[in-house]
Amino acid sequence: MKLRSSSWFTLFYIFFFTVVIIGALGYNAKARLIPLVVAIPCLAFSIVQFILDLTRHGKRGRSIEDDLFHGVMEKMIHQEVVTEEDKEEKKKKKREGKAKPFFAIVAWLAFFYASVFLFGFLITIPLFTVLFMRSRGERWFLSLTCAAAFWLSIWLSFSVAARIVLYEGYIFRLFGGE
Amino acid sequence: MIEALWNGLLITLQWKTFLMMMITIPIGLILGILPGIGGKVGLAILIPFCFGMKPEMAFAFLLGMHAVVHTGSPIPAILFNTPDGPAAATCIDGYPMAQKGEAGRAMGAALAASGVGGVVGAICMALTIPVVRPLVLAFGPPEFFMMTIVGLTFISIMAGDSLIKGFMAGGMGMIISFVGMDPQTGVVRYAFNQLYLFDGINIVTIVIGIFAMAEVIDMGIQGGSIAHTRPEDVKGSGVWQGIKDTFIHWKLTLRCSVIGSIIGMIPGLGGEAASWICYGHAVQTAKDPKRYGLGAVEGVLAPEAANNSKEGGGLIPTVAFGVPSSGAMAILLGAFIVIGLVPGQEMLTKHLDLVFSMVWILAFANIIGVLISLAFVGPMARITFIRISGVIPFILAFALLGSYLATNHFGDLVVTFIFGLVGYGMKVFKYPRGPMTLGIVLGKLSENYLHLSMNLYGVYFLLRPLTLLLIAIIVATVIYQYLRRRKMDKMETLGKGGAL
Repeated sequence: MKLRSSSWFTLFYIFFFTVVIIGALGYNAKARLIPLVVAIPCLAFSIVQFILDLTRHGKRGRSIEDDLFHGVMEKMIHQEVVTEEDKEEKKKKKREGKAKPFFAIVAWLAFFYASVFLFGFLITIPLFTVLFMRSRGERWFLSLTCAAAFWLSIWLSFSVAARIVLYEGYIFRLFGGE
Repeated sequence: MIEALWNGLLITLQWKTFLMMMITIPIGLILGILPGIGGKVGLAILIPFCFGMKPEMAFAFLLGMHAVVHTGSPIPAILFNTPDGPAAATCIDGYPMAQKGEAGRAMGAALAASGVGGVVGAICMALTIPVVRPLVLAFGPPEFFMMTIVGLTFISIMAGDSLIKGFMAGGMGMIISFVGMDPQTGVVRYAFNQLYLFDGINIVTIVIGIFAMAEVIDMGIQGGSIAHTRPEDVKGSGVWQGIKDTFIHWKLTLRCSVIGSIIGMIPGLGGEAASWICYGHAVQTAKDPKRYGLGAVEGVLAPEAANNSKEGGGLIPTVAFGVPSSGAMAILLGAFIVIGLVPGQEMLTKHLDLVFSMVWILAFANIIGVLISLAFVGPMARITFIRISGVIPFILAFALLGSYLATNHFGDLVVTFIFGLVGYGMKVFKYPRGPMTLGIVLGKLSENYLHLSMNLYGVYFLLRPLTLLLIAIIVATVIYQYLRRRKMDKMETLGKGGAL
């Protein structure tokens, strides 16, 4: 049986609470009391939710948007405008349509993190702003202006006003930074 | 009590405190205009800036922003029919007013009602403190333990569509709060031999993850800008008429403000419930209910007055019992811990001046917020045309800087990222994030109260009269909610059957 994304998320909860219970068994009675009191019923709830996710498949779990999609496709198949294969392909594209932007933004976040780790905040913030805005079709002028404004606001509020030394990055630490 | 009220005013009028409030009021207004970001994300981003601040300055900083978030939110609701949560009720009559060419009047009414609501909410808070104080002083550790459970139960069952999901989210939050050294036993729990986790996970880091980071991911996926059409009539003509409407219908505005602050006090309700209940009240008490939905100004006044007044009411259980009434209040409770204050008896005895300063901050912030909004209503509407591509880097930078400053450890950023993904998953699969935040805030607190109760009374703490009463409230609430939802499910099924 193929699991839906909501079921995977519920499985994550089941895994989380299972780990918590197993971990708690290693502590003394006082330290494990509350974690067990919380985690055992929550694990039971997670299992119930998982079963609900599975049994509600195709019924209440399906969104209105999905219902509309299926309804329209069935009608078009009936009228021989599209075939079953077309429907499957369209379904695949629909799924990809949601997944692609998700992985794209996660990749951008990963880039931000990697850049902070290597070059620190004060370089990453304008760099990320320019690249991100350009990738979304903004003009060079607007991207550079925003990057400069963000950099200035962060430098003024943190480095100047609050006198906080921001993380300068691994590369700069290698070359003798603080 | 009067002396504390006066001292609260003096604290608020100190130039540094007032300045802090003035800095964050425009931020709150802008966040209110940008649907999807809102007060919770704003609070999550601003909390790290409070490290090292005096409590009164920190509260001016946070409350100044939070008090006016709902003042800005009717602008996109009226002009573009794009509401942010509680402003949804405003759309019903606000948008038709804009279509009739009365956008200025609708915005004037919404802003003035927001201001009145905010001030009435602050007054309700001030009047409730003397009533609540003796009750809080009668509480001991067993009652406070049960209050934490009451708070978690209320917010878990009322915050989302599913009871189970609410409990799961709350439970996860509680477990996360147990990470690190247990002060009662000295046992290090769930640290997996990672030195970073020995002191526990900082609440600021998690809150930024599940709210700010999750919103960044969501905005990145949605893209575009908030308003999809150019505004035709954003010049603010008719604003004065809208302000006059608020005072012409002063009874309705006042009633809805009071109802809003009462709803705000009930943990888990708050938010959208206040505005919808008050909209319903306006329709029920109207001489001609048929006008509603077609552009009746009363339909704008009622929800907007409630939206702002509920914040004053919401502060009462948060400050007095440590039981926040909403997700935003749960984050604010986290700020209490960051600042080093414990809600409960101490707040209503040692820090009573500070509590009253919150009342004044709410009142001032609402008045100033409305004045700023009225003066710049045109330019503020243009904020809705900011494209998401320009907003994401800004929020991301401030969120991650805030998270990093919690302990100056790179691990904080990793934790924020992980909780960002968890928060996004919760948003997509409709798991309420409020209970999780509350679980994180109350988890450690409830454990401490439990150990104290056990040491003082053994298991017999469960038999104290007030504890029994609170247990009865929890059981009754769960049963009532379960039956109510079952009835609603049945009605839905019958409705579908009928339709077929």
